[in-house]
Amino acid sequence: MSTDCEEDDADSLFDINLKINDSEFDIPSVATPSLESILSDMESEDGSIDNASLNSFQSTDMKLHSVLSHCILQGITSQITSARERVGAGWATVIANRLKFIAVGTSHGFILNFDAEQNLCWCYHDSGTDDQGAISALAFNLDSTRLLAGYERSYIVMIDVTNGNVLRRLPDAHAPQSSVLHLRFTFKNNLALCGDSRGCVFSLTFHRRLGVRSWNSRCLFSGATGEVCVFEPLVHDYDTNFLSQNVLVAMATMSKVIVISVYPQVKCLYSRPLPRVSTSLPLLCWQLIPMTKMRQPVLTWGRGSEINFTRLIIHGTKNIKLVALKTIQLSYSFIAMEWLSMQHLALIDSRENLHLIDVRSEKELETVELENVELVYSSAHFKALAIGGGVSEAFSLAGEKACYNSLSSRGDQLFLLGTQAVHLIKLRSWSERLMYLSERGRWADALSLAAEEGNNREKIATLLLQRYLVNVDVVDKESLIAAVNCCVKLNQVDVLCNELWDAVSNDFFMKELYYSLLTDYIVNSKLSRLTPFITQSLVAHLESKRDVQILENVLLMLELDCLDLHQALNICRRHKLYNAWIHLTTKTIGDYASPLTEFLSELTPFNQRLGNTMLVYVSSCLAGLGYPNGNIPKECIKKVKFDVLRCLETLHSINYKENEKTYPYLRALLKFNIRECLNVIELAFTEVEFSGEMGLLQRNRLVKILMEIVTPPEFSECEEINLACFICRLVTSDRINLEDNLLGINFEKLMQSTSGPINLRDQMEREQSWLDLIISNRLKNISSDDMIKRALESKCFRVAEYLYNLDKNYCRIVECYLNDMIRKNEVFDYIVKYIDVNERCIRDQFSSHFSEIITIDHRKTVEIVVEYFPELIPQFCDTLEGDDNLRFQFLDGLINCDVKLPSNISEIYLDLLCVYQKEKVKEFVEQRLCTVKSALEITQKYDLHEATAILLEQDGEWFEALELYLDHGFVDRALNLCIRGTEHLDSDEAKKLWIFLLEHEKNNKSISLRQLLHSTAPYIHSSQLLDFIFNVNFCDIKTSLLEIYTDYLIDTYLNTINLKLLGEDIQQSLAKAIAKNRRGISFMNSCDLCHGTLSSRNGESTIIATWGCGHCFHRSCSVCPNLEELMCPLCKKKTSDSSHLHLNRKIEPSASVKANIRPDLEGHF
Amino acid sequence: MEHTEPHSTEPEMANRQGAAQRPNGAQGKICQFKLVLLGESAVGKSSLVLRFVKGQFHEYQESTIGAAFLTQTVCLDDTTVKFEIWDTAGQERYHSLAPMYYRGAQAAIVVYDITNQDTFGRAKTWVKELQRQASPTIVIALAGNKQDLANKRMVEYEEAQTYAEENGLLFMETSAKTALNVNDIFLAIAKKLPKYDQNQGQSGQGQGRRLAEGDQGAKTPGNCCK
Repeated sequence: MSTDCEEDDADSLFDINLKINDSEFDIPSVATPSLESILSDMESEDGSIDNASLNSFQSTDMKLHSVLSHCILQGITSQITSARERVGAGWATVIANRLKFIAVGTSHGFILNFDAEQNLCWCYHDSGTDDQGAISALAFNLDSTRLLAGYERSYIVMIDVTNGNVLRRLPDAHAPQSSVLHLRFTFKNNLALCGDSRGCVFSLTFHRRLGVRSWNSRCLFSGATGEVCVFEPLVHDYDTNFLSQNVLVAMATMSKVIVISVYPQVKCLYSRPLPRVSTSLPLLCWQLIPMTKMRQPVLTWGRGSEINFTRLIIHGTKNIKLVALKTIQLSYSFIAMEWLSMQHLALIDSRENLHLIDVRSEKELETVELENVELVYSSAHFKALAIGGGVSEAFSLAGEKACYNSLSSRGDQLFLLGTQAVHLIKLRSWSERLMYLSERGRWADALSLAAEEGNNREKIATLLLQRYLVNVDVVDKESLIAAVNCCVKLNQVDVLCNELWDAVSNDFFMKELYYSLLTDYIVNSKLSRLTPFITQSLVAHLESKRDVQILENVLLMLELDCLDLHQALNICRRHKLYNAWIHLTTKTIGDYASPLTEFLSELTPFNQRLGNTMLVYVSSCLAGLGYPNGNIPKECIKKVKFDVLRCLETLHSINYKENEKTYPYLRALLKFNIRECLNVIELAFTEVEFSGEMGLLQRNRLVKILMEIVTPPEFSECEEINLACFICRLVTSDRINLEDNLLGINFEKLMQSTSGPINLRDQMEREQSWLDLIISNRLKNISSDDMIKRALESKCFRVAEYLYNLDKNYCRIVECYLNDMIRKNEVFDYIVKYIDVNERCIRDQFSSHFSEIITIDHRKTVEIVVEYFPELIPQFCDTLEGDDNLRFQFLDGLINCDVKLPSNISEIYLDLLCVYQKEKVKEFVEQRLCTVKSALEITQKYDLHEATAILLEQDGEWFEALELYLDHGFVDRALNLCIRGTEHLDSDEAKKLWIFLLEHEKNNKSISLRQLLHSTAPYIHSSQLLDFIFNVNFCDIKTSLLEIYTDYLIDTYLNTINLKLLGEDIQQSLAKAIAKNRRGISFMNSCDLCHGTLSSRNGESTIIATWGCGHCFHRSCSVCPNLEELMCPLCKKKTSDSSHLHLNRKIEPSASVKANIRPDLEGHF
Repeated sequence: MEHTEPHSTEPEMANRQGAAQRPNGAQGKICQFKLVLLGESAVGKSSLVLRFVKGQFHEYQESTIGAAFLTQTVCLDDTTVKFEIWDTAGQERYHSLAPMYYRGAQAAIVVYDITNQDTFGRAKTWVKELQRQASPTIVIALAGNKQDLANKRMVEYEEAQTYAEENGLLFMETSAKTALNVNDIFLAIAKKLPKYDQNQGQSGQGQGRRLAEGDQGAKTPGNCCK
């Protein structure tokens, strides 16, 4: 193919085209004005496609149903209909468009070509191709000069678009007996691609040599290796230089998507598997998408419900890469996919709904039902019905819903070929949408949409607003909200306050809404300016609503010059909106003293809000800051500070009356809260105005004024002390210098003893100031003793401690701590710290103040006692006599610290324990710290029976204990006692114990019989046990009996076995004995007694006695008369009885064991 | 009083869409003017405005704080003139506020009290300040108020008349109490103001509301729609 191309003649039409490629072909693939004009006629006056405005879709959450417009192209539709009716053209099957033309193919082989005004340019029908059946594919070349038409029965023709003449006929360009399914021109005008129902792809090359048009076809892809369902060459105006040298085609087979380069050489660039969905066809689309700065080609491919985006990246002309961008999963399965503009994909699902998807956000913007379009499907071509099939099953199944050739997109428009008509779906631009929505009276949507846009659209939006106001007689809630929002966004204060007001002013509810909307915008500082009239009514409205806080916020946020000050300030006064009042007066008149003078009469210690406001106001003014927010203009700061200070130092107010006291403003503030007021002044002293020589004079002056004001009886002692502390702080840090007499007065005030209570904070400050004074050596003229006396009098114990320390007079320091309300707890730290320092005589102080110390914190006291003074415990215990609670806590603490107390103290503790914590008595008694006797007395005194019983048990009085338990119903404890008793007592006593228990229980039955039996069984024999049981439910003893029976059976069995074993043993021993007895005996021929020979040498007969042990001697030698009863005198063994004895011994133990075994019923209950 | 339809000039958009032109006649020209009252305290500025806007008079008018805002509409031939009136406070402490209001005002009435020579002097300084700092096209009127107290007159009519002529001011002696010349002075100002439709954006507004609110406005002498 490539060689063909090179051989092309210079005068070939397409070659010429090729040469002018760079300049001429550089036409945007979207939109030429001519076609737009049709649309404009139908749609709107504003024809230009505004891609930028589509950005707004991204932010639109609501489905406005205004994004897509749908209409029928009447011109084209009527022509098709008339062609069908008049010349028998049949039904439309294929649609294609390019630049100026739209071509429609029909089922009887007619091709109708329309120009942009929907006029029919020409109609082509070649009677020679009648037998070729329906047109199954159409393709324009890029500049829409040539049209390729493919027939159902494999024929292809090339037509000159301008006049409808046939230029080339391609009867056998592809596999025979297959329908043409796809035709596409590539970027090269002499290269087209053709796909057929066998799944093969052919490249068609066109030449013109010496005026003779010829063509060439070559198989690119054979259906045998995988059927190509669809292919799409990259023709977008991306990089003409690149595209003229490379032809890229994306193809989708049944199983994968591939991108190949067809020219200059055939090469596969990319391959990915497709989702396996046998019933749907794969879909492919190229689109240029703006990325960073450039527009980049992106291949969109998918199948079923999955869409993939793959980006083409080209470096130079050779290095081509495809990079996956993203995948979108949809909830439906789609059968067609086309781009609408650069950000939106139109997808048609299998139920013929068109979904518009924003690619960036992956949001579905709108859904249009296409049911009435009756979309044309080309499944017949896919199955190649016209030429008898021959199509693979998979292919025909997938092609069931094939509609590749029924859709044709251009820019933001999409042509849909229906059986009855040609439809157009179009994206609306922003202004078109506004128009659309407003025409339908959907003002709320329209206005929200208008408010979204900020750049250069104010005019349209304003017009829209006005149109809204003109057209709407009764404003509804949604549209009012949207309109106000729109006005605020576009800063249309005039519209907001005039026209919109007029629209709502007659409706009470709308007016309310209008006001609340305005309030919201103002409070959120999105709106700061209204016309004076609206401001006035809004303020009046808010006042009537009684929501003064909101009113104050509104007043604070609004610009000053649109406020009716007279109204606003009066309202502020009336509702005590101090902040707003201050804001308005200071910012407008610049009179910073007036807030002080204005509210003097209201400034009482009880008006917290005003007082605090004033303090903050004065503070911020003295710091040169605006109140309640913002800044004072730079040039005014000095004046403001001066004004406010002068006002504070004013001797008399404007409305001076006879009884008015001096310095009314400062006095009022001091009376409100002296501490905070002094803080404000102290803060102000750090400002420039109070520094330097002049500043010192200022400070001195102010302090003198303060001293003049703060005098009794108007000010309390506490307040005086506050001031004294304040002055002392200033004095010690050398920030003021006062005359000695004034200082003296001040020190006196600081050191005076107060008659009433003084709050802790003041006291602390006072002590601190005092200490500071001592440290800075300003009180040297007062003697130490005097000072200590005064410190103690005025309860400044910290000062006293400090002085004692100075004097090394340590013995009263603990007392200082103990008297000091604030530092009481620190006494422990002090004690621990100095416990080893003898001269501090901590031990003595601790002992003498023990009861006070323990009142502060008994836990810490106990710790100290345990660690340092264990030997003093009895003494401390005595000290606490009379205060049982403390004593108890003390002893309890000791016990908890595991201190072994002597018995007398333990008894005291026990006594207290009986009173305070009865439940712990038992526990304590078990520790056996007290003598039993006295403890018994105590527990009996308090009727603590359990404890008493425990003590009795300790004393060995088992029965008394048991009785006590049983009398008071502690059966469990009684049981345990019995069990313990069994261990400690001999068996008779134990049995008595048990029987006592059983006897008692027989009457009381406070415990279930089963339980009792269960507990008793191991200790008392069953037979005895059964004696106590009568008149009971059989169930209770059933198991017991059963067990006894089982035990009996087992015992019998064991006995049998025992006997058997014994018999065997006897047999064995007998056999052994017999065997033994049969043994021969050898002996020496000498009597073991007399050592004479046994045999008679002299022939006299001698009786010889022989034993089994081998000893033998003369009968006469043995002394015993009865030989049978004698043992061998040597062995002293009763030979004849030995075996008997042995046997008896063996039997006895087993018998005794048997006798001793008690039925172990434990496991059985 | 003639009631004009609010939509005197239909927005372009509406026209294009073919929305029917409302039968509002050709006369619906609306002018909106900002007017400021200046003068020493207690000369009767607020009373003057109250008389004009509401037709009321209070013997003991409270002292204005800062500035108060009122509106009134008058009809003049084929034009509706809507006054946005800023009634400023006369007290010295509010003096610094005045520029906020007279800047951008198309008209000003400087009021003095004919029974008090000082107020006339103060009025002169106001006129000077206006001439120096306000818009150069501002229409200034001088009102000698409290004409009902002419027997206690301290400022001669001729003296003020001469001063007004010298400075190109409108001049009338008025009485808020008897309503003498009150409407006349406002009308005179309205006539002197340039009548081109000075605010396109604010056309379309209906004055019916304003009239309904200031009910007495309708009862003012029929000199507004001659």
